[in-house]
Amino acid sequence: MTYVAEIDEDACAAHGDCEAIAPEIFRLDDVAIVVGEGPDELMLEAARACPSVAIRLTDRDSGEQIYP
Amino acid sequence: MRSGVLIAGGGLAAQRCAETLRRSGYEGAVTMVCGEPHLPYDRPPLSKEVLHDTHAERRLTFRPEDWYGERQVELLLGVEARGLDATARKLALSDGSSVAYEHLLIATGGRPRPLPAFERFANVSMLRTLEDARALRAVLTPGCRLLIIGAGFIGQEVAAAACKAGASPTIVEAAAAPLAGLLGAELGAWFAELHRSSGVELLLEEQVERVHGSERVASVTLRGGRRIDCDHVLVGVGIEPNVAWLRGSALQEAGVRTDVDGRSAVPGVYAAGDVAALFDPLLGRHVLGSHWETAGRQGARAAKAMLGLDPGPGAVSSFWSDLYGTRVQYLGHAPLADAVSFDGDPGSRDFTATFTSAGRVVAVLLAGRPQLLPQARALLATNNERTHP
Repeated sequence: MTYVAEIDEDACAAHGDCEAIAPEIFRLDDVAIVVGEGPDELMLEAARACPSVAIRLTDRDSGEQIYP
Repeated sequence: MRSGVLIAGGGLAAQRCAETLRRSGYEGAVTMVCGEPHLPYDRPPLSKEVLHDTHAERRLTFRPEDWYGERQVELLLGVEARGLDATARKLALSDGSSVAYEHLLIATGGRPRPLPAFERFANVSMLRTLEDARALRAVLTPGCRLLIIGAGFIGQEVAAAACKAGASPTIVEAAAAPLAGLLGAELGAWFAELHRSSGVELLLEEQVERVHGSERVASVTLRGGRRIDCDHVLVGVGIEPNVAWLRGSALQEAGVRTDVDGRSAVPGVYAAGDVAALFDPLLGRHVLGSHWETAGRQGARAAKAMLGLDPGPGAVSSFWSDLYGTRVQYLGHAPLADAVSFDGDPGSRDFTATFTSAGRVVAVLLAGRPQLLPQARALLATNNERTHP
């Protein structure tokens, strides 16, 4: 669990795919919000599924951007 | 009855309007007149996973029932708007009642455009509601010969879903390629190849000349002379706005015209989503209907306009689709373009098409490159700023 998720609130269109894939990590409010942590693979799956590409993942240790 | 915000409709634009009102601190009454008997739900999955996965419909509702109770958003399920008295600020409903409003959002959506030649047959579907999707799913069994009229979004997505269900779809389209009117011949040909390589028969520049059968369509003859046998027919030739109930009011019957924020010409009346024709400053005209993302943003913007808040910049027109495992994302206005250039091979499922007008980017289509969407969005936003300082 080294990935950190951030939501680009201007890009998020509240499709809700992230919440459907990883409800422990993402919840849909007016836009999606990050509510918890989870396995890296699950975060990546949610980020890739987002039709608006509004989820940004960075590596906590290296600071490297993982997605997009 | 308290008069607050009345929302005629239960789709995406209606839902986002209610959410934004409450999130912005509005404390007046909010009532949604949902024509359908269901909690407000999301339609895009109806032409995708709902057609081949019986469990998918459980995930359709935008919010659980508690959400509406906790936020005091009143839902009138299975009740339709029947008439507008804009002078008295009252909406007549199908249950015989009449509701006063301070602000009204017209978000009654659209209905599939019927084709008269197919209207009297039992095995013909159109797709808009959950019931429509359930009925279609029931017939999409392995081996079912599905004839699809129209290669628009609905026709293309149903073809892909039908393949997943094991059915055999044939699409008949009048144009030279799917979406050719929007995206041009080259990309249209790419969409055509996408379907054909997945086993879908796609017949272009063709139209149905005759329909054969008594109670059920057994086959059709095309203008070119070919006869196609079928077990079921899906008509997907676009939608028309649900405006019949506005007859007699001052509002346009070909879609409710509004400004960029969703205000109609009638005081206190707003519109959003498929029923609305919002003014598009980039195109300089009103544009009827919208895709998913735009409809949601229109509902939210109308809510802010009602409350006198700054609705922020309008959303760029956009759509996305997953076809046979390839994500396709589009934003902007391709018909404005005078040139299109490609990064990557347009014969593959991994490329960017950039549409330009006199060198300025007006639209971008991404195939199999979802990670490039933020970049494309930024490119278009910069371009729009330059156009409208």
